[in-house]
Amino acid sequence: MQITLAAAAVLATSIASTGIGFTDADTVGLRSLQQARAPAPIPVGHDNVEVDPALRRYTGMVIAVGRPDDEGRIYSFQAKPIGPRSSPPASNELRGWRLTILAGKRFASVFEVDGNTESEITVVPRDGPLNGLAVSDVFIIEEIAVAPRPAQQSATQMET
Amino acid sequence: MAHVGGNMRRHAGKAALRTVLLTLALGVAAAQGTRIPADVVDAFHAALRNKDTAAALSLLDRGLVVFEFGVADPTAEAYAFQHLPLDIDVAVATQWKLESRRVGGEGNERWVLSTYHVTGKLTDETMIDQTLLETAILRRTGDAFRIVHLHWSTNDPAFQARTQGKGTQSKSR
Repeated sequence: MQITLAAAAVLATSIASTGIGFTDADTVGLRSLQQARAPAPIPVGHDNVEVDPALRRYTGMVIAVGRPDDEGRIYSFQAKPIGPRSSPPASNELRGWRLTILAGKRFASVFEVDGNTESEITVVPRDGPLNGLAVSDVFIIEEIAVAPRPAQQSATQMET
Repeated sequence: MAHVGGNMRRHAGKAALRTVLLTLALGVAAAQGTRIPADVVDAFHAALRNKDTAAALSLLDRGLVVFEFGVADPTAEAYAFQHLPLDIDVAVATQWKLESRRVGGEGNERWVLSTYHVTGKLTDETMIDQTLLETAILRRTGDAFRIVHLHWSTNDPAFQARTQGKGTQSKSR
């Protein structure tokens, strides 16, 4: 699988719709950095440099947080795909892959995918609950085993 | 003999105390994340090479702004979603050799200026052989330095043009 210009364009369009993107004006001055969340087409930058992907990925956005269990812990969420891989994953295709949250309160938190449907991702309880995850948070799921980690402290450390 | 034995016990006690204090000191240092700024930069590159997305993110300040080959990622989230995966791909596909480094700053704000000799190959077999220039600004929040700004550029104008989608082929060497 290669990252193509077409895929980069899809990614750019998708990201712009999430509000992560920024306007062309942002590339020429700091003034507009404060307006970085304006939904507009984004420049693709070094996306034009094609290298073989280091691993398979699935990127998406949370559209609903799962129902908590009796103790209030959440281990699943509904998602829609955005980015180069814009089609929903096959059932349990992502099982065992590494989920990393890329926005919000759980920024940089890591989980192992326990299973998935086309629209729902469930994580392994071992890595802790997903509580704090919110609608519109974006994430990446990569075909790589979750390395043992001492704790999910990075998200709280980095909150400012 | 009793006196000698008492001295030995005192010496042994002092040695044990020194060991305990040293262990405590090392433990505190580790807990405080006393990684120096240059080590944070190196750890970031190592995380990219190791395809460790979370480790890379953990070294970034939430106020991160990235300038990369003429475009900007204005937030940590934008960089994480847009370019971090591609930077991992590039890190895995290329070899980076540190050529020079200067560090400076004081207090909670530091900078690390590095140049790397980067070699490798693009998917279309185009060779990469260039000097990459990196400015990293780090901010200490809490006990650890994290990268709050990165700026990358290259000495290869053809590569620079290619990154900006101008259709110029990077020179093969």
